[in-house]
Amino acid sequence: MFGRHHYPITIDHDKIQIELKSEEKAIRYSRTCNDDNLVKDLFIEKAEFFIEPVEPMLLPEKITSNLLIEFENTILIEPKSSITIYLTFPIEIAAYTKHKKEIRRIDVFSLSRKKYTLYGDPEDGVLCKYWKSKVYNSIPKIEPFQEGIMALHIDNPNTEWCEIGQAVFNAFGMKIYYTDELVSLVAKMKVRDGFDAETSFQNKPIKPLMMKSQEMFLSAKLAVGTGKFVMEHGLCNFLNK
Amino acid sequence: MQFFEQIVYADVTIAHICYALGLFILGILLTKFGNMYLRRMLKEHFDRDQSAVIVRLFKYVIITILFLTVLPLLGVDLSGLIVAGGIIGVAVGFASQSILSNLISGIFLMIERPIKIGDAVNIDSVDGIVDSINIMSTTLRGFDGLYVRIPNSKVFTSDISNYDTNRVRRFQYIIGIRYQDDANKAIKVLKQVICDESLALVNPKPRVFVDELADSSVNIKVWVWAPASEWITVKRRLLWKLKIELEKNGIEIPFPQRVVWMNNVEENS
Repeated sequence: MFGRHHYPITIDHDKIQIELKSEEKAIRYSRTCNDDNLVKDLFIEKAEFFIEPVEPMLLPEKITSNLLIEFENTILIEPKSSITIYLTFPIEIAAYTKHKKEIRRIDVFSLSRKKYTLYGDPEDGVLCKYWKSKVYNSIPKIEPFQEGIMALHIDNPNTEWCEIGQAVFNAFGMKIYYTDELVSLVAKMKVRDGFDAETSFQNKPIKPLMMKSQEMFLSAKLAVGTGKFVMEHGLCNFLNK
Repeated sequence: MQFFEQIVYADVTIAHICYALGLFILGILLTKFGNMYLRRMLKEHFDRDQSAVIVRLFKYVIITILFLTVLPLLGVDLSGLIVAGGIIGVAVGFASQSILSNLISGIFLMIERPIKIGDAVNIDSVDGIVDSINIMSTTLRGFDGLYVRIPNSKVFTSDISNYDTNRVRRFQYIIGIRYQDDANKAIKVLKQVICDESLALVNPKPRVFVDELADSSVNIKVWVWAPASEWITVKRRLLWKLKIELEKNGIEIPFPQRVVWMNNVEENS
């Protein structure tokens, strides 16, 4: 389903149906995802369409650019060590068309659970999209139209043990790569002391020969941030345990 | 030196005129530099129009003081003017009491900044979005679409609730169920509905608990946190979902009830 498509197209994938067909002078885009339907008439000459996984920040409302992934189990990392873990993350699927370099998003939909949370206190916390993930030691098998796999390199350069139960990322910097079987992100977390850390994304796929998705947040706001996030409200959410 | 002691008119000498002129020029220069410094200082706290008003006010005050200092040097007797000015001042003071109060309140509001343009607020029991904060008044766009102008003195002395200061806010429902219904089941159903609502936050955790054994119902209190920008939408949407889901599970919201025991006098006797 992911990738470049030429008109006319019909995609029928379990809970997602997409159709592009001629409707008089327009091209009719119709999509069904679960119970959600969308129909749009597109007046374009050259019909070139892309369907790609994008940053999971646009649905149901674009109210934050941060993603918080809570680990099902907290992890302990010994002093002066680095590890790589694999987490799942939610994805949204965007359908868009291109005219030269100008990208126009037609639609965004998602099969992932949509939920929000607050990282920190109500006074100075940060609103985040919420996702709960198991912690894996190798790439697990997943449903690629529902969730992706994130390889997270955690570096603890300190002389103390470090306990981590959550990771927060800034969507302005997500580099999503995909095939039809796998959607991936590569991220790193550098623990600054026992209580805070800095997270960022790396511009590389988890496996070779993967395609890179359009960066919706980067294309919307070129000048915003460096894509890093400083987790200054802690690495574990003890309140929810 | 004799040149400067020459009398020009009345008791005023050339020295007096030079001294007055020097003082005046110095005063003007000081006003200019003062304006520049003040403008720079106000830049962080006020927008351009507001700082221009304050700077102009400062300029007029300084020029008035300058004239009052220089004119006696030139032989102008200000005692009459001061008496007249005093009387006028008292009259103007009384008349402009509210204007000054609004002005000073406006300045303090701009420094303290309890509200910002675009914030959803409640000021003096008026709900709305802040449209503008001016030097004399604050305007709100009421949620009903009304334009409301509130004098700054009233804004300053009123209780202000700013719904947008924090990123998230909590709202609550009190849901009454029948005494014969299972409260634990009701709590479970309510928690599940909240869990399914995307804009009901995971953290801070929602709380659902039996709060009161009331006259006609067992009252369950529901606390939900939502993004400050979306809370009213979530509150409206969630309430109906909670009602529907409770009914689906056979839990009903009771009407007020009163049990009346009839004492039949004839039968007893």
